[in-house]
Amino acid sequence: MKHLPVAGKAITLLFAASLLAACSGSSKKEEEEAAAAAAAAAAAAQQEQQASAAAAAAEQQRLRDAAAAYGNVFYFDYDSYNLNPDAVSALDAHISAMQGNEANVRLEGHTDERGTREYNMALGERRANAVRDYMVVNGVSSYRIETVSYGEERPIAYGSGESNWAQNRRVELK
Amino acid sequence: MSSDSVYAKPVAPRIIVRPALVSLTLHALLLVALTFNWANSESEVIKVKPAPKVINARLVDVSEFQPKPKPKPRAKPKSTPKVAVSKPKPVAKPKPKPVAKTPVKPAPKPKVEPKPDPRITEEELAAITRTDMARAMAAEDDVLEATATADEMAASYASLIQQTVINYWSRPPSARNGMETLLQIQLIPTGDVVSVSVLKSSGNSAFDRSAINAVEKAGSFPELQKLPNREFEKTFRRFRLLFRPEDLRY
Amino acid sequence: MKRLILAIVPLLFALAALGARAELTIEITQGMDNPTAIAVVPFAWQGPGTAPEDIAWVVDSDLARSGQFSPVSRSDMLGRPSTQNDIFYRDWRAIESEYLLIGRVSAQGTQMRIEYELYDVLRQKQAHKGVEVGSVNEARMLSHRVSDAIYQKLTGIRGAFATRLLYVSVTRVPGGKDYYRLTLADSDGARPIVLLESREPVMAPGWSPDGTQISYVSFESGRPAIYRQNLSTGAREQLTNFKGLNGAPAWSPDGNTMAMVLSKDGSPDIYLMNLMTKKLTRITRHYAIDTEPTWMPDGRSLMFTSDRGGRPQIYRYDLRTGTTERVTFEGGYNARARVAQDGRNVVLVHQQNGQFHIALLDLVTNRLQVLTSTQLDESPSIAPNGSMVLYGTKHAGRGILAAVSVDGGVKFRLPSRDGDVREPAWSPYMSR
Repeated sequence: MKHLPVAGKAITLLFAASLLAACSGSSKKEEEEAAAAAAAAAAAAQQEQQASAAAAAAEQQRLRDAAAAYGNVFYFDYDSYNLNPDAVSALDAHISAMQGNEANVRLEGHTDERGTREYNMALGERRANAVRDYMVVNGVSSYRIETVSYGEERPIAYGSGESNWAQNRRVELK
Repeated sequence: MSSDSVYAKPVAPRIIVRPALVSLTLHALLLVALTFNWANSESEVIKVKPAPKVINARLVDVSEFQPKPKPKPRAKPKSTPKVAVSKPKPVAKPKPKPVAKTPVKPAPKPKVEPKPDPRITEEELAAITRTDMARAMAAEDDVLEATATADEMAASYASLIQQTVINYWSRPPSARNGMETLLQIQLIPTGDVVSVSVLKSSGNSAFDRSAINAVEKAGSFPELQKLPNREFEKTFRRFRLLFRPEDLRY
Repeated sequence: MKRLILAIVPLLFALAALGARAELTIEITQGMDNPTAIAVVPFAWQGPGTAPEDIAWVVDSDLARSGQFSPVSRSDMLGRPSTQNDIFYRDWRAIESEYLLIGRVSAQGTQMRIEYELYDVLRQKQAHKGVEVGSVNEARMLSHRVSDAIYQKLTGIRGAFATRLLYVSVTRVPGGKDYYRLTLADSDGARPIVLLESREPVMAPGWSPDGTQISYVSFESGRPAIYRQNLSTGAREQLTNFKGLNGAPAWSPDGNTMAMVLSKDGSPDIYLMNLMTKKLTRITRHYAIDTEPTWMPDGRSLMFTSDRGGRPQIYRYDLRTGTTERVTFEGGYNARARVAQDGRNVVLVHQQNGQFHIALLDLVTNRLQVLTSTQLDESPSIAPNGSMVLYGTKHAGRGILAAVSVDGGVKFRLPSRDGDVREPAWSPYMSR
């Protein structure tokens, strides 16, 4: 949509140029000059359009890279579904990247193995919901977001102990 | 005219006051004793607190369920294996040991006294009465002391029987605190159990059976051989066991 | 006179003797609860070739596993009687065996017949006898029925050996998607059959009260959904497809209603679904997590887990009055209750010193007692006779199933193959 003003400008220029060329009724050389000017203007407009498209794409890529740099996994403390500052920064980057498209996302909530399975299903959902709520508050339409909890059923790390458990207390953005 | 024949002489009846009184008192005492309710009618209950039970939870690995000899968690091994494998005949009972006399004060025998001479003087009689009374009272003390010691002994052997049976009693899972099975036990002086019967059932046959099994597994109480025969006959020839758990979860 | 006076001495003796003619009663108020020694003699096979199953060995293992019996080792047996005439009681007294089980097995075509007799060694008489008849393919189940009969005869409690288990078995694929298998096996873990295999999680297996259907949660659609399945026909029905959680299905004692957890209305709550009409009734309306419903045996109330008080505790909802009351007060985490058929014993997951154990709550005394010494325990399931609890735990880095008796005295682990095993569900009594 950003291209529109540029395109508009180009068309206006072209139109103006052709109008001028038409209204001048001057010599062929003037016509040729006008045509050349129009072509140049069109080319310039196209270039501008491409440039701004490229710029937009580059910006989008930059945002995506920035988000990717944070990773698509957000971690949580034991028994908690509060977003810690790292998660918030990461989410901000992802939200920015999401403004540039209409793609849907899926948030998958997980817990570590401690405690009972069904309770952990509910805890995983709370974590996914916490991420979803933050996104919605910051401008992402809720219909784009799907949340699913896997509780403790899909661990990344199979062992016990805090170094393993910490890896499993997470929400994954897909 | 006065004759010298004994049969002619009238003998005046004499009531000797003090001995008569003593005799009357003793007869009264006897009457009282016979009618008085001595022990708590049916039985004398012995309640000794055994040592607290230690529960060992065994972590059993399934590999233990392979055919190989398993250690038996028996609390107390049977002291005398009573069976000889080769003999097809019934078991020959071990020779009863001669009953050893425990160092209890020998029961004072009633002394053999010459017949009291009716012609003894009153003073002499009084003197004899006093000495005899003293001796009789001493004898009574001896009897009481012997009774106390005998009671203590009975209690200590009863405690031994109690602990042995406890060690052999496996309660079924359906057992509950307060269930009661009353068994009648008959022993012979060797300490062997010759009869076990249920006087009062708990209503739960597995529970009753566990009580009977405990006694049959114990089989005998050989320490009772140390009891003097009288004590054995008095207390342990026939007695009762009341199984009433108090230590179950509920 | 002296004679009169000294006559009191024998009288005193007589008195003493009279007083003591009353009988001594000794009270026995404690026991040692040693397992009962029983000799399970290999049953005689009366057919051609080899027997389809070592019946006596299955019985031996069942009785040993219960913790109530200590079977005599075969190498200690001095004889192998198979009929009453072959029994020499002294052979069994010699090895201190209290009971003797003998039997004979025969087969005709696809049918087999087991005849067995139980003898009381101490009293030298027959205590019980019975016959089991069935298909040769069911040899193990017939053996378990023999175990049930012996167990009941000697303990007074109905045996639960001829029952089955459901559990979830997981094969890890590092870096990829794990395999999840819903498995059906005998109560001793033998004869496993895979009922459902998926690359997506499967959880929460359960039984209908008559043992003909099962329920579970499967993520095969990409989201958790509740299913029920008929065991004999294999016919399956998806019961839910709501957004959010669909979990913890629990059959009512009359088999007509399924309790479950749904979060479609905002937060996880307990719902009841009529299995005929599929109509839903909402039971809890709280913004907290309400989950893990389980029925009381009389069907009049439900226990469930809720963190409405801050952390998970057990609550009870009365269906008639609609009231909810808290049940657990000891410790900071109590969850996933299961109620025994006696309506009194409740097993649950209890956290103590950071470790998760299986604990037993007595609803009458309100006493909570930790049963296990393993540490990452979950998913307790009680045997239908209330004697034993199966649960999931971790050992050497893998998920395994373990068992503990309700009095905490017997503990063992089930043998496990590769992978992780979890979420055992003990079947009800199986009808023949």
